[in-house]
Amino acid sequence: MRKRTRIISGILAVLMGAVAVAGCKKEEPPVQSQAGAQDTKAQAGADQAGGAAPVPVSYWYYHKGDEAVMMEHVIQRFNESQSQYVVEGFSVPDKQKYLVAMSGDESPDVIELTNSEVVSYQGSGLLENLTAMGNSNGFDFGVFDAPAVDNNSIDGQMYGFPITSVIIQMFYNKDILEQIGEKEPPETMEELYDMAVRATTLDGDGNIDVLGYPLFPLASARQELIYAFGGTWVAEDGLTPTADSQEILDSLHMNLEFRNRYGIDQVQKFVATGNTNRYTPQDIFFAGKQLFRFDGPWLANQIRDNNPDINFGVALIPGTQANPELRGVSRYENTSLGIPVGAKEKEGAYAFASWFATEGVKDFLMEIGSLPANKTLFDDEELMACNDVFPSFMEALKTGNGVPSLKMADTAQYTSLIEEYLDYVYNGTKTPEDAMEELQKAASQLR
Amino acid sequence: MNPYRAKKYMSKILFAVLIAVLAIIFLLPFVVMFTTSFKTMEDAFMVPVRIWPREFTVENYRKAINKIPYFSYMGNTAYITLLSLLGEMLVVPMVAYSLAKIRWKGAGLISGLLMGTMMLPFTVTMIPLYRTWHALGLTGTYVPLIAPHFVGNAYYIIIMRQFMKGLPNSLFEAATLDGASEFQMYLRIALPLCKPALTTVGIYTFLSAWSDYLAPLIYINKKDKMTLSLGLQQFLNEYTIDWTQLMAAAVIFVLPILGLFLIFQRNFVEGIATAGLKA
Amino acid sequence: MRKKRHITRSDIDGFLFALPWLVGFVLLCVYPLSMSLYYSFTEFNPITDPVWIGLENYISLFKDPRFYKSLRNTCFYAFIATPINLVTALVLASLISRRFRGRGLVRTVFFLPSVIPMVAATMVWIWMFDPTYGFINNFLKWFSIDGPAWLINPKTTKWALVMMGMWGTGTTMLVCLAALQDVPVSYYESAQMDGANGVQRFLFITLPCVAHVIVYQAILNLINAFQYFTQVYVITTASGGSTSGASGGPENSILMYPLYLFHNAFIYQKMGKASAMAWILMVVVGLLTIVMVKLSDKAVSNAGGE
Repeated sequence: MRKRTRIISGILAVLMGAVAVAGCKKEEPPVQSQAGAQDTKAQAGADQAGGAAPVPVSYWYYHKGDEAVMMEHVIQRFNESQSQYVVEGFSVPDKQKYLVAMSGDESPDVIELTNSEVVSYQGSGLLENLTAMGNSNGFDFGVFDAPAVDNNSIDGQMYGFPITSVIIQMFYNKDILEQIGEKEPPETMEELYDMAVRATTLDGDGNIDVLGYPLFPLASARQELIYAFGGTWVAEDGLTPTADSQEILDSLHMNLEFRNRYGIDQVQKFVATGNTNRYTPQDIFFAGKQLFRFDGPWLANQIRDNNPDINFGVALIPGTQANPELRGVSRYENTSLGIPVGAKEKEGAYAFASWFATEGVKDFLMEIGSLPANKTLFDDEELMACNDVFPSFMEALKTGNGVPSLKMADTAQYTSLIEEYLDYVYNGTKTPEDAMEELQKAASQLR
Repeated sequence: MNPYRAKKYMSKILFAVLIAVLAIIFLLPFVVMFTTSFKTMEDAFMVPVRIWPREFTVENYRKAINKIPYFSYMGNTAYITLLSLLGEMLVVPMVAYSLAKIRWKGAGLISGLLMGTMMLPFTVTMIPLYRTWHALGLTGTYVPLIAPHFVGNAYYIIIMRQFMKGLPNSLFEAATLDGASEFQMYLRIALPLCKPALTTVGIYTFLSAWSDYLAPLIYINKKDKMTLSLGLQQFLNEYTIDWTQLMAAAVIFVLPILGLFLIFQRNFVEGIATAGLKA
Repeated sequence: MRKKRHITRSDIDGFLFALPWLVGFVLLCVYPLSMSLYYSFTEFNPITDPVWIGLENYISLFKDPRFYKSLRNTCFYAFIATPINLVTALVLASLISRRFRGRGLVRTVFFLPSVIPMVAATMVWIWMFDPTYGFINNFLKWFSIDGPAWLINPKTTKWALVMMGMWGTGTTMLVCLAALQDVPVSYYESAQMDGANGVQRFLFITLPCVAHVIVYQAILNLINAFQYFTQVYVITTASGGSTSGASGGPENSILMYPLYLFHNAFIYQKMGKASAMAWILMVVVGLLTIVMVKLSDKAVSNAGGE
């Protein structure tokens, strides 16, 4: 009995003690803001440039594994190209680490960013204005593709130097296409659906053996499969959610029709397996178990490296019968480099970031298999030759059908809501109409 | 055989089968981890699944060790673990002694507070603590990982207190009559007698420091300072997961702990039983 | 005892011996706890200073469907997995409380999962839960059962977590085992003479004798359930399907309360809202513990224990 009373009194004491201290506590000790000190340091760095030891510049990127190695190659090339700075790279896959570190003393000097991070970090005042920095250094912003500039700009000021462009197009298995008696890939979603149904096969247990409709990868099912119908998650301003638009509902109805035809559980299981062995030698596309695959140019690199026995082609993502001009539609996103306001070595950071975005970027793109954001490379023969599918992707890039990234401050929250509500539709938990109406309602609370 | 003996015999067999099945179920994830780590990617993705690899390969281990600077991470992990161990060993028995053997006014309150802190969700203190360490300029160092061990963990103090309560009071009464101070009694009588409990606490500390995930995730941000649990995360590549390499990395991460556990099993089991029964 | 108000030599000694912990308690517990209460009334992200906004965080939480969803998920785990774990632990413990050859080994096997680092163990389970290559569904296939896509189907995700929990119930099992072995043998002997059968013996002798231990373990398990984080964090990051970086599994079915708190703090950059969530959790867990303790007092005294 006494023991229990003690437990309760302990808990109450902890709670009340805390409340008491909180009551007294009014102000928060200033945690950071040493902008003045940083300027002097940067100055010192510049003074030193003439001789002696190179100034260290820390660079955080979120690539892991093999891609981290490619990133280190870029860093190595930069360090060899000049003697003023030495960049130290660090693979930091955990997003929250960037946030906490950027708040002060250990802020990296350069960070790799997605478009939505540009928006959210800038919204919190965490990023340096690169337009201002570039202008004072005579940087030519004209080298970047216009949508890439837009993706990295807020109120006309750039906060990230775009390195790669990410777009998605349609890979297809030529052999399967031939088996169903087709020669050319589809140009509308209606055609695609028809071929998908004819190509989908089941094994003896009723489980899916070959998947026709491009339900995997999950990210392109959430984006390109919607965009192909003319639907987008936000209006053109990049800010107003449009989750309940008719185009999105059309896309979801076709999606659901396919799922219901073969069984929601069966589709789910097949997609789960696809997700487990994604980009391994056993990937469902490499194994000839997927007819259409909406994916990025890196898939071609993977195919080259894993050398599967597959005969594939690349075509533009279809439009619809009603809107055939939508062909080639895709997300248009970038990975970019930004300089945190807390960076200690801003001159060095600028030197590295601007070098990477211009001179240094080509070798990196060739190694990692990504498309350029730098217009001067659009017709670079060497770059186009390094990946069989680059020409097709460049064609798509030039259609101007790219869907820019979201500009909402709460982009992460909206994206997460979209993921949740699409799950409801895919699993048959809610009808597309109900789910999208609720999603629209929830999203309208966001900023 | 008479029917009674037969029935008894049958129930014995049933019992043995039941125990065997349960043991296999509990061991299965370990088996899967070990065998997958020796499989080729092709074998790992075979349907139907084979437990035993068709061909054994140590390639996964070689690649896993090369992918991350395994031995340097292990050194970091060991360094943090040993200092944490030192901290708990110094402080836990002292506090426990105060609660178990010194009759003083605050003992009851502290015992209650110990229970209170045990139910405190880590997420509540996470943000303020980070800001504090940050204001002190200590993030990115091992201090935020190690310092908390130098004030004693509530759960370990409870284990230790229960053990000390069991030491015969007569020993201490005799020493008091001889004019020994509390500190002398603590050092000369209590501490030497506490060895089993100390070992238990030591192993616990080792385990938790070795496997700690969230604290290094938040505080460590330099490549050369990373720990093994963070290193393991490097295998969850953005695009693809190499399951065979991941399992190999997991095996070498887990092995030291398994070894330690098997050696000190008895202390473990007794420590948990004491803490659970009498707290 | 008139001397009670005096500070004795023992008081000073006791205080000094406990001092390190007290210092830690103030610095690592009371201070951050109070700060987090203050933060819960403010809005800030890792780089900005907190700005006082009153009750807004709490109001927005009470309007947030995901807040309730994460709370429901956590409650599901707490109130389904906890009893299941306790029963599992008790059954396992009573099995190995019998004397048989290899008993020590079996005890080790049952306990082994509890010493494995959570990150590593979770990764192995993710692999085992795969619908095609995972061991579990392949095993079920032998019995012609078509297993579900455990971690993909929102109807099964939580049960997958429950299974993982049962596997890791070793600590509770050891405590139960010790409690069972503490029950005096004479009780059973006299009951047997009275003609009580196995079930009756368990219900009327074993259970009352170990009730207080079980209740204590239930409280600990419940508290742990409300802090359930690492497993779901690893599962949701490993699944790779999310672009938001804030996945709570399919249909957010394993978005546990601490995970949503973590998303708010570090992904959505709403540290004030996260602090408010932390304090709500504190209060819920605190109340729950008190209720459990009160109820168990009644239950234990009714059962005639102690």
